[in-house]
Amino acid sequence: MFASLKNKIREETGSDLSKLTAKITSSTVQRIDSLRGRGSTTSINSLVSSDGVREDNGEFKSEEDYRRRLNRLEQEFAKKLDEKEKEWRDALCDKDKHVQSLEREKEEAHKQIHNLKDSLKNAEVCKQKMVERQEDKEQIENFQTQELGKVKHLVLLREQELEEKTSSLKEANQQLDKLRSEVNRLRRFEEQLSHSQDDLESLRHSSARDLASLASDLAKREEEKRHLTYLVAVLEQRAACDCNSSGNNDHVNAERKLLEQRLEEAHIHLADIKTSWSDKIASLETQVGRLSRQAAEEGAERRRAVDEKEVLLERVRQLECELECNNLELSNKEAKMKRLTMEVEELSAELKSIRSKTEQEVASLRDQIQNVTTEIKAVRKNLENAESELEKNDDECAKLRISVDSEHQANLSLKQDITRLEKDLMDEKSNSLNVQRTLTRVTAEKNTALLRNAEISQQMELAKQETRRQETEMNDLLNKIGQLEEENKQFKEKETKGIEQELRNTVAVLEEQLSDKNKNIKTLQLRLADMKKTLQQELRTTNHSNFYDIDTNAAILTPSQTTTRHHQFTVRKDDDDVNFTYLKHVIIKFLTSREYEAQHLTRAVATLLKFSPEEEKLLNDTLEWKMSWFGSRPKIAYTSGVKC
Amino acid sequence: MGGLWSYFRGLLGAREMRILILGLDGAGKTTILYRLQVGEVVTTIPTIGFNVEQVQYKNLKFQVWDLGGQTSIRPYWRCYYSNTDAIIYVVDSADKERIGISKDELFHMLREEELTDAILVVLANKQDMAGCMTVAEVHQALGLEALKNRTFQIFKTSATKGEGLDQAMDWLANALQNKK
Repeated sequence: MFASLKNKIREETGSDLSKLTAKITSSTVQRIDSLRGRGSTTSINSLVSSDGVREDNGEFKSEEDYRRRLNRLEQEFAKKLDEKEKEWRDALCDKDKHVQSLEREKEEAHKQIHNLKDSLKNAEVCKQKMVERQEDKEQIENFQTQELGKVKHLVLLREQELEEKTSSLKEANQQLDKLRSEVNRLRRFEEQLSHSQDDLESLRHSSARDLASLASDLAKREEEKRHLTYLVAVLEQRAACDCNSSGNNDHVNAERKLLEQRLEEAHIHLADIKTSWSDKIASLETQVGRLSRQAAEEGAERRRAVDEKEVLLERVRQLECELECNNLELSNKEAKMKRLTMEVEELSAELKSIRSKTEQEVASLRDQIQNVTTEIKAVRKNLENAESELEKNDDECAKLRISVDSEHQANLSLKQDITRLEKDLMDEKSNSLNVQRTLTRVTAEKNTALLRNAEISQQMELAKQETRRQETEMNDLLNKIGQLEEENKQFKEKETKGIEQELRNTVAVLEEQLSDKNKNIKTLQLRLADMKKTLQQELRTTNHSNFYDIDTNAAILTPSQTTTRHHQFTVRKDDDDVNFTYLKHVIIKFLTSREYEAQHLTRAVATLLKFSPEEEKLLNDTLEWKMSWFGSRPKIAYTSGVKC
Repeated sequence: MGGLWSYFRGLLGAREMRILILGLDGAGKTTILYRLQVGEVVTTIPTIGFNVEQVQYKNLKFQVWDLGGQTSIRPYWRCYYSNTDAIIYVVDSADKERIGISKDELFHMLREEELTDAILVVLANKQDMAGCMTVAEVHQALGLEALKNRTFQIFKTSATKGEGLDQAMDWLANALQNKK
């Protein structure tokens, strides 16, 4: 019993029994509050509280209950202990695992520390090496700087040399240019040289000829000498003969001696001649050399002269040509001049004659001008008239143009229509062609369709036979369905009976619950009434002095009556206000409106003034009587004196 | 006598169509009435009572009744229901809080026997206000899809800008002529 009760309490309150009891025992006021607030749970609470009271009093103690409770509590505590132990064990296991893992981590950390120390040593070694390397590096850098200095010095020297060389190159280039110019100059001299060599050869040739002629002369002289020597020898022989002949010998000897002398003289003379000839030859040679030089110079000069002569000749020819041309032009111009002078003279003569004529004409023209001005005035008047006519004509023209434009537009639209119609015609032609084609196609299709129709009719017959068969099957199936439905109905009846019984049972249970709850509510209401009464009594006894307070308290205690009354009153007042204005408005409208509208307003007036049906009818009748032109006035069945 | 009167009225011209403009207070009924009559926006005060105006629209004469829509005088609407040809029900599209009340009032009214033949025009008014409901939303909020056996149409309008009123009156005139 108690167990079930406790369970119920737990379910309904959602809190433990111990808490509840504590709450309940705290104070009576709170109990009342809880009674008011909880509603359906109050009865149970009160029961529980009574139970607690019982325990306090110790009137209904029983050892069995205690033992049961103790056992239960022990079991609960044992369960809780087990749970806690399990939790702690789990926690311990977790912690052990955690410790083990931490130890592993520690070992790993030691290993890491060793590794790190090794690496530190290595790092120190490396650091020393680094220092050495840095020193080496610094030395190398010093060497490098020194070498760099040397190299820079060398580079500077080389640069200076280069500059010198460049300057020398420039000089050499200048010299080369000079030499080239000289070479160009010398080329001309080479030409001269070649000319002079040619001259020299020619001169040598001439000198060789001279020499040959001189050698032939010499040979002639030697032949003459030989001849003379022969002659001398002949003469000596003669002389010898004469000598032999004695007497004459002496004489011949003398002659021989003379001849020998003469010969010697001749020899000497020859030798002299030879020397003179040789001298002459030498002088001639020198002269030839001089002559050859002079000839070369003269040849060059002659060539230049010839060239210049040719150039000059050409110029002369040109100038002669120009001269001839100029002469021709001159003659032409002179002829023109003569002609022009002649013409000028003629023109001057004509001018004089024309002037005289023009003077005469001017006089006549002045007269004419006067005449013409008069004519112009007349013409102007005519012109003004004509202009006015022209303006009129222009207006007409504009009108005509507008009409023409409109006609043009109409024409264009008509043309467009024509083109459209033509297009339509073309389209229709094409359509007709298409239609004809389709017609031929359709006829073909029709033939095929007829064939198909025959086939289909055959198929239809077959299908009809099948449908007959299916109908018979359908009938069979319908019979089966009927049977099945009957079975189904039987089943359903069975099922519904079972459900009905269940529902009735549940209804009975629910009704019982409802009656219980109603009873509870009634008891609670009774209690509440009692409480109110006691409270009022208490309040009256405590506050005798202040009547006003009592009244207000009473009002508060019985709010349902007084406040609602007051509210109703105020509402009614507002409503009355609105209703009064509404009534006023409706009555004014009713009185001022047309009869047709008033007829519609009778209902409103009747309801507002709460007329009886008879009164309403009377009002309606009166209105109809007013609206109609004849008829009797309705009987006044109502007078205030009678009915009130 | 009444028959004679109506006979003479028939001789004089077509019968005036009786139209009621209904809706919650502040929906814009009076503004719509005078917009229809004078074609201008007039400054209005809350109507406690009603306004009646003759409105000529396309050779049709309407007698338009604009009934005050305040809560306390809403029960008097039923006094005017007899011989009504059409109802223009105006809804404030920007008033989302009271659309439910508007729906209740509409359906309460349509349940009346005297209005079974009346044509209904719903105007989703104040469409120029920012954040207002669309026509579809108003249609859904009023539950108009539940209406059967009733010629009705919903329009979006702005009485202050005069938008949508012409379409609504066109439709109403056509519907009234067809009904005849």
